[in-house]
Amino acid sequence: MGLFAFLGTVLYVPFLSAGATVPRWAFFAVALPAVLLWKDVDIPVRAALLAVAVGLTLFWSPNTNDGLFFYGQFLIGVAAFCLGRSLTDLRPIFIGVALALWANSLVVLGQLADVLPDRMFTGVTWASGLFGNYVPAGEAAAMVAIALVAYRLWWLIPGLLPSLAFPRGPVVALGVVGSLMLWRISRRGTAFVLLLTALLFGAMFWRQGFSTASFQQRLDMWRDVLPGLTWWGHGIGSFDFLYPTFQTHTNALQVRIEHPHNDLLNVLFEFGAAGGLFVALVVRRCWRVDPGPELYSFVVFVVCGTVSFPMFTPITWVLACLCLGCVYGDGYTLRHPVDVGGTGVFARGEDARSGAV
Amino acid sequence: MWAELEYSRGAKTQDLERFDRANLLFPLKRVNRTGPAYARIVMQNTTMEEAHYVLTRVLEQNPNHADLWFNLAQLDLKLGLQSEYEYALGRLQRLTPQNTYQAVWTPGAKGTP
Repeated sequence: MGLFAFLGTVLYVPFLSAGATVPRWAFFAVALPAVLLWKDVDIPVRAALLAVAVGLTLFWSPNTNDGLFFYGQFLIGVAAFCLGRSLTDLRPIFIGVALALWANSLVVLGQLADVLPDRMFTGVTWASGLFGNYVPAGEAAAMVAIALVAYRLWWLIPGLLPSLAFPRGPVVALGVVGSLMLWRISRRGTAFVLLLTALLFGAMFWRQGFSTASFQQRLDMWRDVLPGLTWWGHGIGSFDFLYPTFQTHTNALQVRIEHPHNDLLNVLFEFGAAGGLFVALVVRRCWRVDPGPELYSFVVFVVCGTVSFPMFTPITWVLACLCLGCVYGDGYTLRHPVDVGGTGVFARGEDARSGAV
Repeated sequence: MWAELEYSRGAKTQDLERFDRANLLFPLKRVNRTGPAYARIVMQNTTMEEAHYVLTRVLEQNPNHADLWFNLAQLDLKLGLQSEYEYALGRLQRLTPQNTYQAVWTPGAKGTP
C-alpha cells in the first residue's frame, strides 16, 4: 500500500501541460479498482448508493461532458473510501506519501537554489516541485504531517518542510488541527502551537508583501456564488460551466475561475441541500469517533478546503477519501458507544461490576 | 493521457490539428474542448473564416466563455457579419456586465464601421 501511495504522489510527467494532475488521475483510476479487486474489498451499500445519487445529478447538470469528467474523479474518491474503510490504519500510506513529498521537497530546494528552473515542469507557481503549484503540495504535506505527528513518525517530518514553506492555507490548517490535537493533552502546548502558527502566517504574509489580493478575490468569488445556490443544486461538474453567468464581482474577460476556492461552497452549489446534508453526516461521524491520525488528516483537508480546492487535486482528494473511509471503518470506535440495551453489547449495574456479561 | 499528449505537443509545435485531435480523443475535459478555439486565436496561423467556424462550434458546446465571445465578435466585425457581431456582443455583454464595448473602425479594414 505504501508503494501505491508513493507512486501516486510522485508521479509527474514533465512534458505534459497538465503533467501534475492528469497522470495521477489516470494512475488512481486504474490502480484503485485494481487494488480493490486484489484485496477483495467489499463495496458498502451506502457508498454505492451515494455514487448512484451523485450520478443522477448528471441529468440536470448543464454540461454532460463536464459532469462526466468530475463524476469520474468522484468515483475515484468512492473507490478510495472503500479501500480506506477496509483498513484499520493508513500508516503505510502516509509513509509512502511522505517519502514522495521528500522527493518533491528535493525538487523544490533545487528550484530555490537555481539548480533547477522555477517552472521547468510547466509549473503555475515558482517552487512548484512535482505538483505544478506549491499549494497542492503544501496541502498534501499538511495532511501527511499531522498524521505523522499522531503516529509519532517524527523522522519523516523534516522532508515535508520545504513543501510547507510557501502556502499559507495548509500551514494554518496544520496549526489549527495541531492545536486541537494537543487540546486534550496540554493547554500550554495548544497555545504554543497557535502562537507558532500565527507567527509563521505573519512571516509568510510579510514575505508576500502583505498582499490581500488573493483573499479579496476569494471574497469576490464567494459573493458571486452565494446567490447561485439552489435547493436542488446544479448538478455535478456545473460550477466550472455556470460560474461565468454569476460572475459580477470579478471580470469574466480577465479571469476564468474553475473552482470557488471553498469546497463546501462547491458541494452546496452542485448538490444543494442534499450535499449539505451529506456534509453534516460526515461532520457528525467525525465528531463522534475517537480521534486518530486519519481523522486529523481529514480535518486538515477540510480546513484547507475553506480557502482552496483540495477536492480537485488528485493526491489530496484520494488521501482524504482514504482517511474518511478509515474513520468509517472498524479501526475507529465511537467515543460514546450506543447502549443498545437488552442483551446488547454492554452489561449493566451489578453484572457490569462483577464483569459478567 | 493520449489527449493530454496531443494537447501538449500542439502547444509546443503550434500544430492546430493536435488540438482538434485532443478534443476528439477526450472531450470530457473543458480545456480539450476549447483548445481548438484558443489555439486559433493565440497562434493566428489560420484563416479568419476557419477561426470563425471553429469558434462558433466551440461556443455552441461551451457558451460561457467571455473571451471566446469577445474574439468571435472581433472576427464577425472583420468579416462584415453584422447580425452575428451584434449577437456575439450581446452574449459578451451578458457575461461581463461591468464592461462596455466599442467597435473601432480602421479605414481599409474589412468589416462593419
